[in-house]
Amino acid sequence: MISSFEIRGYRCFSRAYAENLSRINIIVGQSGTGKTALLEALFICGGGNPQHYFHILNWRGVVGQKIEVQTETYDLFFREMFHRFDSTGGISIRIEDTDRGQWSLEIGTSIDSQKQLVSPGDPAVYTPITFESKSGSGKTHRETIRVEEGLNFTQAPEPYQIHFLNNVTLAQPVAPASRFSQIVQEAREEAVIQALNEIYKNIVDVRLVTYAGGNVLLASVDGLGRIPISSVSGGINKYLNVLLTLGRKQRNVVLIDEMENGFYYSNLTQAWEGILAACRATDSQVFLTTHSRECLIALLPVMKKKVDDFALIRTEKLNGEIVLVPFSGKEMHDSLKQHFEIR
Amino acid sequence: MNRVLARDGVTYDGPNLVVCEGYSDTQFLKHLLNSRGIEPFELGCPTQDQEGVSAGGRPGMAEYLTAVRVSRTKARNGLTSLVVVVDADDNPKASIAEARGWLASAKLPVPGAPFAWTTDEPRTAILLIPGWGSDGQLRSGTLEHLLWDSLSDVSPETYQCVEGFAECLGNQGDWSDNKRAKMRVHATIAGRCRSDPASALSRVWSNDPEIFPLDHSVFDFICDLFRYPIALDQH
Repeated sequence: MISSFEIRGYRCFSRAYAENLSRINIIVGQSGTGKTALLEALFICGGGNPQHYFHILNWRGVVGQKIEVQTETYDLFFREMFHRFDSTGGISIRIEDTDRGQWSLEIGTSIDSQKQLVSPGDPAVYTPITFESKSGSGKTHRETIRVEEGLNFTQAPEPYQIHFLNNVTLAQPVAPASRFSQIVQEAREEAVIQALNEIYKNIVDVRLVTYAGGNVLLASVDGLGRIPISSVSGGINKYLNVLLTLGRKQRNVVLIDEMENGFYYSNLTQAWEGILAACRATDSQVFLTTHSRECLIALLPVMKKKVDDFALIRTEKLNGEIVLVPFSGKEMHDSLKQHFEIR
Repeated sequence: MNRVLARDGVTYDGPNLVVCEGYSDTQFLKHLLNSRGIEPFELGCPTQDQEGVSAGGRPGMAEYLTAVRVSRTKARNGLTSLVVVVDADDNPKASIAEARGWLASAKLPVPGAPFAWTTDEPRTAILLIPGWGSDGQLRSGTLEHLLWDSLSDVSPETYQCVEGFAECLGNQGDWSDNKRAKMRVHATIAGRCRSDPASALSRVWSNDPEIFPLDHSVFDFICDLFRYPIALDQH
């Protein structure tokens, strides 16, 4: 489980540090104070190579699926990753895991000795960016992005498995089908279907089928037969995705952006129950963002007896810099119970 | 202007906050401070939780003060001064110790004594009601004792009348002093509040602000305490 992390130089963070993290870590704060950037930093650090950064650019709509880095646009791709668009200070992200040790990622221009490369046949000059990761067991992996070599990255030897669930990834049918397949092979699908059925009573079964050339999850809907699960409801699709990602294997770390999206208000408490139960079953950990007071209030009955499973991090702007202000589950619980606005 | 905080989705953004045990205290203090021109303060109190298990009053004070600290940090226009209002009840020293415990558990500055301000921010003070007795000792009792004191001085006929009524009822021998004070105050409200004889104490200031004389000197020690942070801010 991640017990602390430190982010230096990534996007809005000059330096951000949080410790005493818990199983479910809820991130709140005003728009533009780095809630999603915090999740991104953890995700990039876990990937260990530049690929995860390009996923983020794609999710944000900055680039399409097919990316081609050119000398002229090289800086544009990377400058927004750096605090105040200044790459000279570099980026450093460090994760402390109680079981797996310390993982880190350094990103910058100063790591690689080669600088100011000129692309063959192109008079423009660019400064290559290097990603250097270090795993809990001390294995390092270095990847420098050069225009002439294209975006062909090698997998880091020991990536830290972090999954990012946002509006884009939740709409993709392939990953949940693959995760469901894995769970079926281990005969663990009943618990997931049961958790889904706790909220969505009309879903009686979920099956993996080959459909239009790919694997798709079909839900057996009471009275309607089998329908692709993403066609039944966005909320059901999201909840199943979260459960499958958490249940995939032991000790997952799952990042969920805007937890409340897709859930009908009266289902939120049961969704929290299901997520906590799935976390406990696989000893997994969640970092999620929310803007919704309704979503936080729905958590109160769940927190009541399991307050230590939760922590609150609020992103705040202090003297022009973003800071992380952490609170324990009990402090969060007391504040919600007394009807305070804590977002 | 002084204002009482909403009881759901509590937000406060002023520099000075007062936390009372109950809604009646917040309304009394709001009207007292308004009448003396001491502002701006925001006033709040714990409320029952969603499950209906009481977390209002004293049992909710530590939670409420924790929520104060969680909801307001330096980046969110940090709080400058905080007053915790507590009834002395039967044991003033125990009440002070309890109030200090609430503040400690909420990780807020803890004053060494009642009516004294901390130097750490937010500057924090404990207001013990009904304050000091004529013997220089802390009094037992509640807000109703102060209200009854004020009335006995400016309206002796009402005082005599209600005392007579209490004697006539003749069944209060085993009532605690606090309960007798409450009975007298509510009997006064029932007999004097034309717009609503059943008015709660929290509503009496809106229904008939003349019943209890807020300009009476028995309330001066409260106002003196509240003037301190305002004077510091103006300085």
